[in-house]
Amino acid sequence: MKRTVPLLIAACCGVVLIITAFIPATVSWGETATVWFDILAAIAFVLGGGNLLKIHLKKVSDRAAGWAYSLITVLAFLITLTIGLTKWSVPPATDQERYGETFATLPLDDLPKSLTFTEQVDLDAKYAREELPDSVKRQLQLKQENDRIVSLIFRGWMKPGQAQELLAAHQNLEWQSAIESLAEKAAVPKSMRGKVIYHADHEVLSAAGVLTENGEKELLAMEASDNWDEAVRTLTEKTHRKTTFQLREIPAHFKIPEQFAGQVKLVDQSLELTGPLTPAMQNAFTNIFPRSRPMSKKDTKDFVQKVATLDGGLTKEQKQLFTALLGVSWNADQLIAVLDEAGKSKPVIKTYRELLKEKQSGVRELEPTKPSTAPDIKLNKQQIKFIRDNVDNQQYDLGNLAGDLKERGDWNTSQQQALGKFLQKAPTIGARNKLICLALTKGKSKLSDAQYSYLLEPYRVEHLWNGQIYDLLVKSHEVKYPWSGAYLQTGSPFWFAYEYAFKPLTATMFSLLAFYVASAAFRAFRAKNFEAFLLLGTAFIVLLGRTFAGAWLSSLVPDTLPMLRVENITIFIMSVVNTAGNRAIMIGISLGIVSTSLKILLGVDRSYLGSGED
Amino acid sequence: MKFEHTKLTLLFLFIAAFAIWQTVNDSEKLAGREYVKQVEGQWVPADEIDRQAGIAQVSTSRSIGLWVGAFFTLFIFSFLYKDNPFYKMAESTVVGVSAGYVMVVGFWTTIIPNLLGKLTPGLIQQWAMPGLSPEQAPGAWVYIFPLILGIMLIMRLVPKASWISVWPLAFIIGTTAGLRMVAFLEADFLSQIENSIVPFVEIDETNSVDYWQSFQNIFSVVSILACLVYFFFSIEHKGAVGKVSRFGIWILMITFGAMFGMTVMGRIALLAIRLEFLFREWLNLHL
Amino acid sequence: MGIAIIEKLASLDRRWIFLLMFLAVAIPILLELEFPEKPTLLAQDVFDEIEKLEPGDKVLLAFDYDPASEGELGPMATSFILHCANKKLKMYFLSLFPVGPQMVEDGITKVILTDFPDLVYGEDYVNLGYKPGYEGVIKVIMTDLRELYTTDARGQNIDQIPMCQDVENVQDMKLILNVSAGYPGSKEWVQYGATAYPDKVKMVAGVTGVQAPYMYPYVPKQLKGLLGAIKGAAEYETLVNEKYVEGEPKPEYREGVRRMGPQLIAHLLMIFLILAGNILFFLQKRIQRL
Repeated sequence: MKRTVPLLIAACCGVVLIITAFIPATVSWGETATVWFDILAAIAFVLGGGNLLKIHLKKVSDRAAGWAYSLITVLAFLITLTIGLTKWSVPPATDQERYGETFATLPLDDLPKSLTFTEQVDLDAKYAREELPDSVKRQLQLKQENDRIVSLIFRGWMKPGQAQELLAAHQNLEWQSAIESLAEKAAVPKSMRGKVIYHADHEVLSAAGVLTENGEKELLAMEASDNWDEAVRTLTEKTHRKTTFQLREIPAHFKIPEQFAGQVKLVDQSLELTGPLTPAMQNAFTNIFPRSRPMSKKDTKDFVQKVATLDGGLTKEQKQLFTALLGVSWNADQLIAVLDEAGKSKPVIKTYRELLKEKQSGVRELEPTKPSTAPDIKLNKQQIKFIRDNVDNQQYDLGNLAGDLKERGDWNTSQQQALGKFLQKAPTIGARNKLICLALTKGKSKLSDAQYSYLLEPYRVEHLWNGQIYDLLVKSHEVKYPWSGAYLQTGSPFWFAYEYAFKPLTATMFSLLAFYVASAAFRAFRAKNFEAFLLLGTAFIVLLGRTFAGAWLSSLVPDTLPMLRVENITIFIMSVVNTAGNRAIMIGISLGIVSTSLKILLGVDRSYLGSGED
Repeated sequence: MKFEHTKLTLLFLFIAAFAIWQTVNDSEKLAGREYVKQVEGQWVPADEIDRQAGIAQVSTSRSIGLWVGAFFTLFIFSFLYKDNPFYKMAESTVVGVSAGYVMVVGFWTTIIPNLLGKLTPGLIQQWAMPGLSPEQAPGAWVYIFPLILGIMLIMRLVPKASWISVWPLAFIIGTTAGLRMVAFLEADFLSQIENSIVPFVEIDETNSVDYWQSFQNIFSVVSILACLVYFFFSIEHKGAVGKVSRFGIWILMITFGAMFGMTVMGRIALLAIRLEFLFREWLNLHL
Repeated sequence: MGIAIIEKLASLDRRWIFLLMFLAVAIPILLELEFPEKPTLLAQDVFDEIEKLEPGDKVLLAFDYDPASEGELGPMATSFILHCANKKLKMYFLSLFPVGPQMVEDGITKVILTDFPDLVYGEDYVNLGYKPGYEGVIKVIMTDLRELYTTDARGQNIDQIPMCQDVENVQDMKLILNVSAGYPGSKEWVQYGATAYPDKVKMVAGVTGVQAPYMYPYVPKQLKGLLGAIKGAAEYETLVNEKYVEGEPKPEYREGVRRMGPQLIAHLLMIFLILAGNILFFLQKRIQRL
């Protein structure tokens, strides 16, 4: 029994995997077996670690020869294991923490009754037999009567992502139309959109930024359980907590944006923040630095000259490169083209309900879009002239461009958004100057300290400010998933163990082989017969051919005798002779593997079972 | 302490003194230290531009790590002179750290997401993987079997119960045998035979015979067959068979010579990178 | 006296040979000795195979190596990332080695974060990480990626990563770029990937010097191109730098070429040692006969 069961297990697993190669319907069995194999391989590491501990702890406790080294092994193992398993000093994953949001625990059942949304439908029951997307399983119910789905019941607010997943679940207009209606009903009310949401997967009620008094009243007005009221009050309390952050340096032109004036105050050298810093606030606070823009020839020349007059000067090549780099910027024509493109009226995407209506009225070829009623807006001559006159005028604030263009002609929201996106794409002055410094110091070129200081000042200010705002983001944030970070986070103690112990040690261990191969070459490689001579001769040719020596030797061979070139001989050896030899070896090995595998699967080879004495 | 060990200790002290001297006197201020800057809460390596901009600072912990890494490298190299306590200490450290490292990797990459994450997704989602859906997928209960097999495997550490570990071992062996049999047959047997069937007369784009390519093809096929004849140990290698197998041996010798040449290349590159680390990253030495 | 010298040299303490090898590698590094590299056909094939791809095409970069082989394979990996980033390909990284994800992160830091800051993690590149199971991993992900890869290396749910949402398995990739140190590695990718799905999967590989001779039989049917050892890395680096890097490439993009300097001197030393060993051997034999 002890030996029969393992033989049967081995045989069954092997046969299943062989069958999957021939019968496509059984591929999933093979996948399952391989997935279990992978899990066991991971558990085998645990076994390895346990075995290591067992052997070395015994050596230490017995005070056997070399026990001190065993103690080092055990300590190194336990320290690495502890810092790795506990994710010591690993910050939480930034993309999982939902910065700017505050959570209050609230089970799904404690949601108010008013947050149960029902959509009456008449759908085929087949939709109920298929898997719903994971994100909605807890919240969506499909009520059936007489083999038809009669209503869709959704508990809680529906997030846009959930709506998208449900729409994509079945490519059928009836289904999609029903989901669209349900999504509209179950959306967060306009007054609270972007401020409050319920995450069913985590069973938490979430508020973004500060939950205002009005917001709190609106939520409490939804009569629900005590848990609901408590959750709302918890959110209010948490989002009104104040954070004070001492700033080391404030950019000269920093002003708190108007829309956040109620939440943030600048008092002396510190920022006082109510509630968490949201990503929108972070973006607004860091997006204050001027961006690079086209420069006129005169401005470019002046800037280059200014840097050239500083200590160290610039070489001719540096000046040329500097001028060329300053010329690499967006230009007025590109901006005009983008604004004209944005001004074109775009077709309006029809809703699924509209498409369903068309289908039901007999339309065969359904068009997903309909033409827009808004007219195309193209920039007029005045607007174009204004753009050309002012884009390279360093005194003109591009932040006023939208307003000025609106005064001079037709202007719509699309163009406004396109302008904002276009200007945002350009690097900041700090980023631009950093790239310039990198380019000007390539190879043997240098810049003086004064030149570095002058060029990199905007980069320094920007970097420090962004760092401070990020620190404020973290300080005002309540950590939700402390163990969600990556176990090999750079800078963590586990990473230290890898970078400064594991990596140098293993790499150096292997590098010792270079010395041994040299020693073996001197002491052991003897051309005692023709075959050994062939081996060593080939080794010489390959050793030479794979370095510059081969290329140099080849240059001595006339063009009329290309076959005598070392590099060509090397290619012949590798791609013909070596290929032939290794092919024969591979064929032999593969037959050996097949025979060994068959012996194992048929139970002829039982060596892996051990001696059977334990 | 033995005399040889004293010599080594003195040598290491001398190297340390030189490294300290180089760190203090390096005009580029790169030797013996690592510079970092903070980007979104993370400390990342800083370059020359960051130093000039004044946003980089010397990281004490990473600089110490650099010295630790350098001395570990030297301790391993000291084995070339003679086995010694420094080498043994470094060897013990690498054994412990590697075992711990792979165990942590296996835990966070497979045991948590692929085993426990399937069996108890709600618990794993709350604690370690917030992006995971808390709903158990249909059919996920089958993951109880690899969990049981895994526990049986760990029983190998318990002498009285170690017999049960043979069951999951048999699973691993059987799966490997099944996987490899088909793969080796397909890729290393059938495909290699197919790849060996090449035309003896190659015609190029100008519709004339490409003599060189034709020669290579013929030579290749003859070589493969000769090597395979050599591997036929159930026939005596005499007469014609003997001559063909002799040619096969020559081909194999050339193959092994090529393999030796490539191996040497590989080994030297490994040494080169360690010396680059010592001379450039640690000591910033240039001649 | 001559006989004594011969006997002494023949029984030379191997530590002197170690010292010679150390000097043969150290001096070129200190002198920063470099030589130009002329790409050979196999490196050109690898380059051309990636050049054929269009922006937005998905490529799988399987970095199956560890710090022990970083000397040979690191430059190849860096050049692969540089090439793919310049071609604006969607890069999916994974590894079959436990330390592989760290190699991937090093490459991402060296190339993408430094020179391609516009590339967004999750949209342009993703590190799927390591899974144990050797060739079993390849077998599963060729048909279903999500059976094994439920998260990326950073722990994020794979379904939340935009560039993974339309990927079902490795057959969705236009090309597999494998950097391999041994087992599991290129051979397994060829066996379970390129051979099993010849119409769907194309593959190029960069391997160590030890492995390279074993991979030649797979070229060109199963492997479209092969980079062997540091020489292959240097050749490929040269091709990528010539096409995509303006001016002098930064030191990180020239590691392969730099490491070829010590190779030449060390190879000459090896040839000298083999010749010297054989000459001494034959001289000793002659002395014994006399």
